[in-house]
Amino acid sequence: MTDSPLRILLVEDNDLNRALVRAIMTRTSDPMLRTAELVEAHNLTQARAVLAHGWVDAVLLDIQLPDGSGLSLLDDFAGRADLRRPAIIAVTGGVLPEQRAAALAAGCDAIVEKPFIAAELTRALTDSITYRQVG
Amino acid sequence: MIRFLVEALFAVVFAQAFVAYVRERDPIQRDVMAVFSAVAMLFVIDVARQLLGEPPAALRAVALILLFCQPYLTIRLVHRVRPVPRWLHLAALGGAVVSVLPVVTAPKLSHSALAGVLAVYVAGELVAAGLLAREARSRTGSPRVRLSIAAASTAAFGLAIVAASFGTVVASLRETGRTFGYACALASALGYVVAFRPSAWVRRLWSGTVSYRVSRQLLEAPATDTPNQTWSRYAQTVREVSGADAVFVVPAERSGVQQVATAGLWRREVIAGNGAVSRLLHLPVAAEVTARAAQIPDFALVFAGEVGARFLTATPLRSPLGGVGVLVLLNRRRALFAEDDVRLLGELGAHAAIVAERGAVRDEQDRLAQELALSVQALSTASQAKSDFLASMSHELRTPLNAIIGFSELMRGEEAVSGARVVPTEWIDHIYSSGRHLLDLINDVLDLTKIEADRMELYPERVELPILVNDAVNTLRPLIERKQLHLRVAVPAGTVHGDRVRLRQVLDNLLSNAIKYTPEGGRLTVESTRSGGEVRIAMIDSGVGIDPADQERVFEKFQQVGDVALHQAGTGLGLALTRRLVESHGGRVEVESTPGVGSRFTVCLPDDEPVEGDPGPGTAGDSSAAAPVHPRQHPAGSVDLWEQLAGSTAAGPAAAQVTVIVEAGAAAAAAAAVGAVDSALTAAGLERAITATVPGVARPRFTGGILLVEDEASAARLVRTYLEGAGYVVRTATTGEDGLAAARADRPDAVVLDVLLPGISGWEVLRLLKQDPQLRDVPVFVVSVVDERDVGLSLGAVDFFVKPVNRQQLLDRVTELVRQSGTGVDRMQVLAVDDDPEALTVIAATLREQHVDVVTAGTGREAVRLARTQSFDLIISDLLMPDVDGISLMNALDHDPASGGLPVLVVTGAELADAEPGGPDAMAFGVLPRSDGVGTALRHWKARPPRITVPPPDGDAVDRPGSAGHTTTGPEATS
Repeated sequence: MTDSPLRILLVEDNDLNRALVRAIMTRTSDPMLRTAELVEAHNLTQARAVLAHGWVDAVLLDIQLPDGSGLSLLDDFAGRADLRRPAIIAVTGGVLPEQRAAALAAGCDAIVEKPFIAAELTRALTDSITYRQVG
Repeated sequence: MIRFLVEALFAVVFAQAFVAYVRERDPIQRDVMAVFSAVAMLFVIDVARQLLGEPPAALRAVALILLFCQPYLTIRLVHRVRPVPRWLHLAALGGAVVSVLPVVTAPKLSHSALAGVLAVYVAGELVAAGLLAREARSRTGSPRVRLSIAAASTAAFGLAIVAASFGTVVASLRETGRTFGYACALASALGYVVAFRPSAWVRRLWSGTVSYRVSRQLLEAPATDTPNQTWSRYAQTVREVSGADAVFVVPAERSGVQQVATAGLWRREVIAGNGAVSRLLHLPVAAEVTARAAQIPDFALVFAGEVGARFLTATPLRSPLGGVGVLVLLNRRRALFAEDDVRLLGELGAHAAIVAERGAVRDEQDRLAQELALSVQALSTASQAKSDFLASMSHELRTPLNAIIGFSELMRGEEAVSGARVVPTEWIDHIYSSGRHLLDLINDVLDLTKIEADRMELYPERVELPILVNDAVNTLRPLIERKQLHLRVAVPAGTVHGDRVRLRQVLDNLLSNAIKYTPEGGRLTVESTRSGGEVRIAMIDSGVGIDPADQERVFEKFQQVGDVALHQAGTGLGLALTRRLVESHGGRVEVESTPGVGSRFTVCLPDDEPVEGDPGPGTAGDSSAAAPVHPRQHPAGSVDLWEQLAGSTAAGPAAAQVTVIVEAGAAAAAAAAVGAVDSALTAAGLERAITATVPGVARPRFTGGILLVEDEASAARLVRTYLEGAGYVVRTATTGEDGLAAARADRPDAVVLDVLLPGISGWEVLRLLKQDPQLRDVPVFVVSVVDERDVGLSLGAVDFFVKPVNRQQLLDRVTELVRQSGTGVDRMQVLAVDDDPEALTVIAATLREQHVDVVTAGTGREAVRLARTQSFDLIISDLLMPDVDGISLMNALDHDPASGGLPVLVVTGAELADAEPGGPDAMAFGVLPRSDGVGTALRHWKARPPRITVPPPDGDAVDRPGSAGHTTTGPEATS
């Protein structure tokens, strides 16, 4: 675990759901998450721009985005050493078995189904980030 | 002996030819016989001489003459199979005459004369043989062989004559020459028989070859041949073996129409009509085209014309699969075919029929396979679309749910202080707006599902277009104002037939889209036109526009295009639903758009408005909701007409009871119809006003109020708030039993009934209400959490609402039905006066639509008479009439006790001069110019919720223009 605060990228097109994640982060008891910097992207293009400019520890990724499937973001990491990649958590309303399978096949570390409650999101975040860091 | 044998044989051959001719009457056979008649006669004479002694000399002379004519006769025979120039005919005839003359005149010819005659004879024969040989070369198949034989036979005959003559001249060779000549003659005759009348074995030989060629051609045909290709191949083979100039085939088919296959013809795509086959089959063999033109089908005549054919031979084409077709040979010259040869070709057509059928079966198989592939593809597309929809649905539903559950869960984690939690206010807002969004989404999905399952029930009625549009615009006005959009509405009066609620939904969807995608300060136009049996309502914005590639996609479910940031508000189903709603009305939605310039969505609905007089030119486009209304201040101080009509407390001095509204420039030019409709629109409002304020005509129709039967306190409070907010008196009962008792105690104007009640169910209450003769006519609105519309309506409810109840829908329906429920006795009686019969018709029709009884009068005098004899609640009068003007009318009415006190609504196209004492505005109840600006304003007023609370009338004062009015709570108190 590093000393610098975590940087988490939230890719979500719905305003209220972004607000929800923000609210959850302010209310969480986990100090690692409470101090984390939350970077927000409304779509894939913005998400790519954030990823190109600096390291993030985790990505909370909505799959159904206005400019394409969130899973295409994972293609950008293909070929990189697996561990030098942020934890990617699919946060999605797509819960059909084939949609879940597609998310896992694409390399998501975890899937959080909408609707979720705070604990589900924070647990997925801490688990994935810890796994990546301990690796 | 040999000669005798030859002669006998020749006689037999000749006799056979003769019998054949007699039987068939074939001109070719006749000519063949003529050619050989001379030789036959000579031979017969010779035989007779040997058996019976010297025959008469004359007989021999005739035989000789015939013999010398033979070259000419041969040329004639040749002419049957190929044209021979006329000069050649004449030359041959001349040669014959020249040859015969010396023979007849001098029985003993000199050698030189004999040589000359012989030369002429042989030349004639050789020319004929040459012509036949050339014709043979130009033909194919068996005709070629047969014509070659004929040519050789002709030459052989010439040789026979030469040999015989030689024998006559040179004594030593007499017998040899004669025998040789006889043999040649016999060979020639046999050759002719083979050529022109082949015997059975010759034909069998030929048939075998033909069968072989036809079958082989068909069997070697590629398996991919279509039936028509097979028939063309068959026709081509027939043409080759028969030597016909052209061949066509009409195959046997079960359907009435047959495609013709051809060979040697340019035209290919020809269809033979019904009866063509039998008409062709009724023709004789080698029918002459010109002589039989009337019996030959047109297309066959065209074919014959194309190749210049003069002869047509048709033979049946029997198919082993049933049915009869026809094979037709077209020839420029007479064919050498005997009838049964052609028939054979027809029989061979059975092979072609089988091959063609095979092709047809394969074609059908291919078609079925393709169809199957297509439907499989369609099915998998549909299945894909279904799972796509499911995936989208899951996403779309979970997105708002996520906010609702997520935020409310966070709230539960907030600190509670004495039973209350302090939570950030925006969390509550987020939950609320997500909940609303979720509800919209569910409603849209349900509507879409209903439409797609064909279970959307429409309740069509005649809907006033301007009202529909203005209601939609007014609902969205806050949004329009927030974005400071310039709105223009140009919707002329008129109706459209459709479900009011659904049409509103369509307009709301399109309008809110237009607002959403138009930047601040943009323009927004709603206009309607009628043309070509269609009502077109267009919504035009100066928004972002839609890329042409996306213009169709916007109508698909969950397909939002363009700027991502603007997507948030919609469900992604609005346009899909809009399109289907319009389609279920028999209409369509069109979109035109230029990115960056704006979009135009047009709803096209079938126009089935009954003709109620010509709306007149210039009415379209000049009605504008945005147009300001300029209430003209009355010198005595005035208030708006509608406030006046509602009995506003703001009423000033008596004179101020009347308000004159004249829009600047709204002069007489304003179309009469618009004015009439506008005035009619106010009638419903007037009705209320009159009810409330004029004791003489007051009908306590709303005193019963609305009875709400609902056990759940919060739901009851909500509906009660809605209804009371709209000015209705609401009584509440919490059980069905109480509700029934309350209704029986005091008949309500309407009942709003919940289904799930503690005691007897709402259905039972509804049933009992409908059984009660006193309460049967009270409109009942059923409210329930589940959609059981069908049950409700079948039990007699007037409408059904699913909780949560939409406020506007409930109020619209309640207002409408409570107003309608007035029965004959209760209905308002209006006298309409106008000298323009057309305007009168329009006024009357529009008022009747508003459930008002109308009596019309074309003159002021008639109006006065009617007003004295009948009782009316209101008079609507033209101001300027030829006989009695509106003012005199009012005076006349006023002075009569029977009609005094009647409110008069003056409709005028004339701008009124300042009120003068005794002028119209001092007396009339209201004055309406025929101008749409006012019409729109009146509609606004009408759209205000009615205030029903009516103070009991004092009874003493006659509430009429000129006296101080009774007051009711003004509408501003409720809004």
